[in-house]
Amino acid sequence: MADPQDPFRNGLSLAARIGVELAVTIVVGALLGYGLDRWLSTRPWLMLAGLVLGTVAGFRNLYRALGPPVSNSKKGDDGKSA
Amino acid sequence: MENPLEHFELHTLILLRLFGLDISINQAVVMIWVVCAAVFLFFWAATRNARLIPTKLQSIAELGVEFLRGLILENMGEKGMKLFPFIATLFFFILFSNLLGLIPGAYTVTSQVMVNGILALAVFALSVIMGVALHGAHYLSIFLPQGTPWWLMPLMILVEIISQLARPITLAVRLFANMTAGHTVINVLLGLVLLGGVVLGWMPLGFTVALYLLEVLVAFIQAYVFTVLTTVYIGDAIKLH
Amino acid sequence: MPQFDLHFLSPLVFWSVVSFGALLFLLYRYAFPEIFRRLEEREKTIKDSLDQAERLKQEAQQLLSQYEAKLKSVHDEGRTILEAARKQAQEQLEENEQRIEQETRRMLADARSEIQRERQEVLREIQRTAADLTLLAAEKVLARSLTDVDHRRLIEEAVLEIARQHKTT
Repeated sequence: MADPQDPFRNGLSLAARIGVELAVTIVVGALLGYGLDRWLSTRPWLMLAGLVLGTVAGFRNLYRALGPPVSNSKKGDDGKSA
Repeated sequence: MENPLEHFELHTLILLRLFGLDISINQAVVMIWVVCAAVFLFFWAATRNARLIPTKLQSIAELGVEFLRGLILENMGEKGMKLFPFIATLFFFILFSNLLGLIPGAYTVTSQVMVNGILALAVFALSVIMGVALHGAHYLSIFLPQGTPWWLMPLMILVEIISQLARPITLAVRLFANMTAGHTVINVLLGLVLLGGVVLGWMPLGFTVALYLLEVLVAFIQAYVFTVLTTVYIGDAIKLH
Repeated sequence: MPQFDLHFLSPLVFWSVVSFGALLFLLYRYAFPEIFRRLEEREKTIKDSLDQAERLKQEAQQLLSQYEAKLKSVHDEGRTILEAARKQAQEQLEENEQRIEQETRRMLADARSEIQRERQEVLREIQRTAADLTLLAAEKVLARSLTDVDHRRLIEEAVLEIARQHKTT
């Protein structure tokens, strides 16, 4: 528990993160769209749009978290602060 | 066989109200107190009779503090040290919740999505507060990743808003899902041990022991992940690209 | 799932916030400063010991070089003294030799001149005695007295003549 750059721990934490992150981001997008749909009564279009945007956001985060190894190596676990 | 999720059901033990707000005591609330007391006792025992050559407990506490400091400095920079007490308390609260929840019969506080949710919300609120305090209106540029082509901007802003909103939810859900899953499986296996009795019970027992060790590891990993992402999220708001 | 039962939302949130807040306050107040203080103290102790070790090492080094320098200076001094003594002895020797030689030479010269002088004296004595004897003889022979001065002059001339003849022969 001394070196935050330990690749083994980074790998473990990454594995523990990414699955849930992808799923939750997609669901958040869809739910946002669903809420807007109900407010604006545009069912089901905004929910579909939210689903698409959520998927994009989810994969984008996934891509960032896995990251190009070179630019990501210094930041370690961080995939978000590009 | 009993419902494996029954373990997570809450039962009100004492009915309490405060200004019309329901603050009744249930097992999870009791466990929250136990966890807080355990963390405090741990630090109390570790800081009492401080010696230059540390005792075992003392060095564990110091190792943890050093480790968290390294994490904060790496992801948040020097300014992040102001939040050290919050982040350290967060880490030890979650870690002790995860570990104490492994004791058979004890309630796992972090399997409660509402508890995790309020912690994640606090992290989110802190990141916004830090971002606005340090950067003012410029903080909004967190929704605009650098190097976006102009025609992608509206789309990227929407995507970023979803990302940002998903952050606290992922924090809460990940912890909840891991804790719930692990404990459910262990509960099921323990149920099988009891069901199998002396003749067949030893088979799932061996498996349960192995799973227990795995769950201890998971307890540490999830506390670590929650803390790392907290420092990364708040660090993003501090650094802002 | 029982965890999504919103019936328990307000108690859980309330007690989470209160308990977590209390824990945060207690740790912030009592635990973390103590741990940080101790970490710093230990870092400082380690750094101090390292510094001290470095200082002692430097001191030892300095002492060693001092000692070496002293040793060298003593060595040099010894050599200088030895050199001086040897030189002095040499000078003394040379001086003595010179003085002895001079002394010898002087003594030799003295002796030589003494001998010379002695010889002259003897010679003159002989001459005078011879003259007296001759005068006496002549007086007797001639039985006649001349003025003493005339006689003496004549006789000395005669003796000198004889001596010259004697020397040439």
